Amino acid sequence: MFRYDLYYGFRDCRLKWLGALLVQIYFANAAYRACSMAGGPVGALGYLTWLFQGKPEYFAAETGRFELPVPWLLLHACLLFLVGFYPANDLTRSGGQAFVRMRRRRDWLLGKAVWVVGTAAAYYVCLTIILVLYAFLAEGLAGQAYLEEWQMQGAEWNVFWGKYITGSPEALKSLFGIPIAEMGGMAIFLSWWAEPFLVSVTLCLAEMVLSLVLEPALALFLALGYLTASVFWAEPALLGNYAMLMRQDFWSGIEAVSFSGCVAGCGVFGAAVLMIGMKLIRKKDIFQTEECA
Amino acid sequence: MKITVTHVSKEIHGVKVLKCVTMTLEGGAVYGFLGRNGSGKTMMMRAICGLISLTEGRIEIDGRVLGKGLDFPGDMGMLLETPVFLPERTGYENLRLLAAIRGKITPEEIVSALEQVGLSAEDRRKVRKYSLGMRQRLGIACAIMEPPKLLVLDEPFNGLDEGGCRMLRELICRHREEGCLILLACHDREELESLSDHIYKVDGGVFTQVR
Repeated sequence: MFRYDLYYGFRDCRLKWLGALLVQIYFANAAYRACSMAGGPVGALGYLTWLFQGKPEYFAAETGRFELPVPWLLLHACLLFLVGFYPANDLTRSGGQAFVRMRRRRDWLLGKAVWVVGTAAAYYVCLTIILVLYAFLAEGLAGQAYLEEWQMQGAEWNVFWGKYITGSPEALKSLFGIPIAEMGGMAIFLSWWAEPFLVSVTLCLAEMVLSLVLEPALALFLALGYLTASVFWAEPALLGNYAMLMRQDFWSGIEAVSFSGCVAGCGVFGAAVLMIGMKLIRKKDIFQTEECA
Repeated sequence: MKITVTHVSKEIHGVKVLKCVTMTLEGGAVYGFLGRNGSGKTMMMRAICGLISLTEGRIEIDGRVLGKGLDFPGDMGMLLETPVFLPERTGYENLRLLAAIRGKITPEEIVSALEQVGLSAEDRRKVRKYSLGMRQRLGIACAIMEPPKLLVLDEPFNGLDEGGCRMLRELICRHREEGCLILLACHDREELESLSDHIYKVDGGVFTQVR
């Protein structure tokens, strides 16, 4: 089933993948332009910070107008769009030829869940590669003179790693106010990659299960609505908070929005979603219909 | 294989599409369903394949109740509605992808299934270039490639030329002799009567055995 999903899933989503990669490249460029005032190279980590920073907690009286973190929302929306239609299409496309070849109905659902996780992982890997390549091209080749001057000032960091991956801690601190030099590598990995990834996977699984009972487009809309609600309310129960760097404990001081909170929240939410999905798939009637998207 | 259908009803959006159907089906025979469009033939086939849930009643496959511990009849091949395949792959490649799910059969068996229906595994044409008859043949190959004990064929003669019809008749007879339980829905009354050991007339979700 894995090979079947790998092939059919990619075939269903190849144009969407192209669109997703173009969106990632666009935002890599936007991140570079936004970070160019940092006074030092920020590397892929700086770009990722800009993309995933989100917004601080919204208070109507203090903050005034409610603003959405557009890059953050669109990157998550892209992934939701990428995974949202294939499971529903597969169920109805061939009239169930793949479905009846499973031993149990739930095996089909679990196979699709594996596909969703794999697609999300590939999405984040692509994003990371694009950001690193962009840092190399933009800050490396284009900013050579600037970097030589920076080196002459005696900054001590591993040349390649500092330039293209983690950037200059001083530049990151001046741009975002994050004391990144005081954070260990594991803390950075958990907050910048692991938490957004876990949140994405959980939301994608929820969207997949919703698409079993609703039109996939509506399931996508509901998932985006939930993400938007996360921007509005800084509640740990709204998983989108864990995917926004500004809401995490090291930046905002909200202790509940931590990696352990993320694992607990995504674990409970994800398990509940899959259990509901297994109940739904047991009773679902399969009819051959037109594809949704 | 033995299938027991007991007081099966199915309601969709308030409309009863299957009404208290009871029948016993055994391997080594062809059961024909005769009825006009929308009478319930395909719906009954879907119920036996495990694709729909029942409003009332139960279906037992060799003593095991479908929907309770058994989601699909094992060793089943089905051709329901229009067969749909990946248009940018060849027929052989399409069948290989589906066969890989269970991993029960070898590439040689896929080749044999294609040859039985008059197609070739060597044919490099993509499915998008197939005629209706070729797609139908590919659908039949898909149904028989993993040697089935239950064969569900809904309007299998659609789009087939004379040679294809002859091929399909021989294939049905051969599988029946091998002990396969075959469900066959067909608009052509003569075809159905010549192939079927038992015939059910279907009208408004009601199944009446006429032979």
